[in-house]
Amino acid sequence: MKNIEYFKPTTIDQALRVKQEMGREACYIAGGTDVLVLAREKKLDCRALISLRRIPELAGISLQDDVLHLGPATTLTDILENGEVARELPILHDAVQVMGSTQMRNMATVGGNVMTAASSGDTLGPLLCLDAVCRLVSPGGERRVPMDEMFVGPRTTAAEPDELLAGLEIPLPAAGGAISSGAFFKLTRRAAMDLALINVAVQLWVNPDRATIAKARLAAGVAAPTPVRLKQTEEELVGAPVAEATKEQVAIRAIGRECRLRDSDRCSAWYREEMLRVLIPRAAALALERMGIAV
Amino acid sequence: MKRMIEFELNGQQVTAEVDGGDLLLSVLRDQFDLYGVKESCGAGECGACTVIIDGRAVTSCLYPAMEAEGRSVTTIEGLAQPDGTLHPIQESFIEKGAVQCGFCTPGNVLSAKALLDKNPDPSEQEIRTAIAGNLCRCTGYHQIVEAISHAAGRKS
Ligand SMILES: Cc1cc2nc3c(=O)[nH]c(=O)nc-3n(C[C@H](O)[C@H](O)[C@H](O)COP(=O)(O)OP(=O)(O)OC[C@H]3O[C@@H](n4cnc5c(N)ncnc54)[C@H](O)[C@@H]3O)c2cc1C
Ligand code: FES
Ligand code: FES
Repeated sequence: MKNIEYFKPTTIDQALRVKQEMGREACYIAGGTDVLVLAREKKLDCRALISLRRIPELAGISLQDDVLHLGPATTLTDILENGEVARELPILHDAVQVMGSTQMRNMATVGGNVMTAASSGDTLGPLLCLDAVCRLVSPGGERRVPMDEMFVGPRTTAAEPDELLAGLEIPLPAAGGAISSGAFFKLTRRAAMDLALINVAVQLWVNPDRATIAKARLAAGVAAPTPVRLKQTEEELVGAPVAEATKEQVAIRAIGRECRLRDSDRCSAWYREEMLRVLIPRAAALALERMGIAV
Repeated sequence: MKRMIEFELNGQQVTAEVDGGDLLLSVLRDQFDLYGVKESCGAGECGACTVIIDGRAVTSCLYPAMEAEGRSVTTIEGLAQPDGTLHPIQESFIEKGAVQCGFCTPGNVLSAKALLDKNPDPSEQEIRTAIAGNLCRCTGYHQIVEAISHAAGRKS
């Protein structure tokens, strides 16, 4: 890329203003680990980059009234090292831990992962299971979009071109004394630096009896053109004995009804299905284990 | 659009004229003759271009030069003393046979330095995680892991 203008706004308003003036010719860059790979492949058509790295309002993690506010420009390393995320959101901690390499995690941001909206994006299943909410801002104002409505097509989000992802809000699963935990698994050909062949996220809430399920969230990546929640299965699990979530039969039914597996040059649909059958029950079992419930 | 930026490079304040599309990798090589910063994949996959910015290892092939402004950048050339005395990590790499063709070595040494500066007594797993983004076609990694844990012992 040559003759590119590079803006380093320090407030959200400045960033929006530049974007408004330049329109499609400008594109946001956070960690750059997707943007610069696209640029290298000459698939990025822009004359200006608007950096989100120096906007304090966009980065950082804070807890307020049982809601974790996750700045979209927070790096994966900062998420990985955050104690509250490790304790309250193991499902997200698991995912960040197996993303890219140390160097990638030092640069890449969670907001970049959301806005790239790849079906393989490892934070997306966890954010879906946590019922995260995206705060989108534009010169016209702000709106809140549930994560579940963000992924509208392959690598496409519900955000308008002039909208900036300004915040991610995650209600703590264990708020108000609820009993909940989650887990994430990713299948790759090698241990590091690999995109998922398939990934699975499960968050479970159990009733005070610790024997039945109060609420369930299941999501899978690379199982359809976008990350998907397995909603029918989530509903069927409500009220069921906890062990139900760990049954292969339940996974098989979910895959058949709610996934659209495909062959790709990285792996076959058949293999993806076989592995989903293993990983969905495994993630559910680990979530239960983290609540001290043996199945 | 070219602009002058100022940053700290291997302990010295420097200025450079860079375009918004320039990568730190090419600025370090072409303007500062720091050929220890290697380009291999150019896409974040191999770690050959690793540098340390404000204490964290990053791949300079995916780092906009403009972002270096006001920050502190360390390349392999910044590790040895001015009189040529090598850094303990470099000594350990030589001693443990962790250098063969040498192409991955600057990146591996810098990943090791970023790790040890933060965590002076890492476990083997922590060492392996720190260098997971640094590919080596020669050594089979064992010697690199050994060199890093040796360097950790030596420093403490
Ligand atoms: C070697 C390598 C390994 C990788 N491994 C993984 C992996 O294991 N798992 C995985 O999921 N991904 C992986 N990725 C992909 C990438 O690192 C992630 O998607 C990362 O989270 C992107 O974040 P970023 O900050 O670098 O995004 P950027 O490249 O800066 O931005 C990505 C997109 O989001 C937009 N954007 C960013 N922030 C905002 C915002 N706040 N508001 C509006 N738009 C915004 C940008 O305009 C751009 O379109 C890997 C990439 C590389 C190069
Ligand atoms: S050249 Fe930068 S990671 Fe390979
Ligand atoms: S020594 Fe040759 S690539 Fe590592």
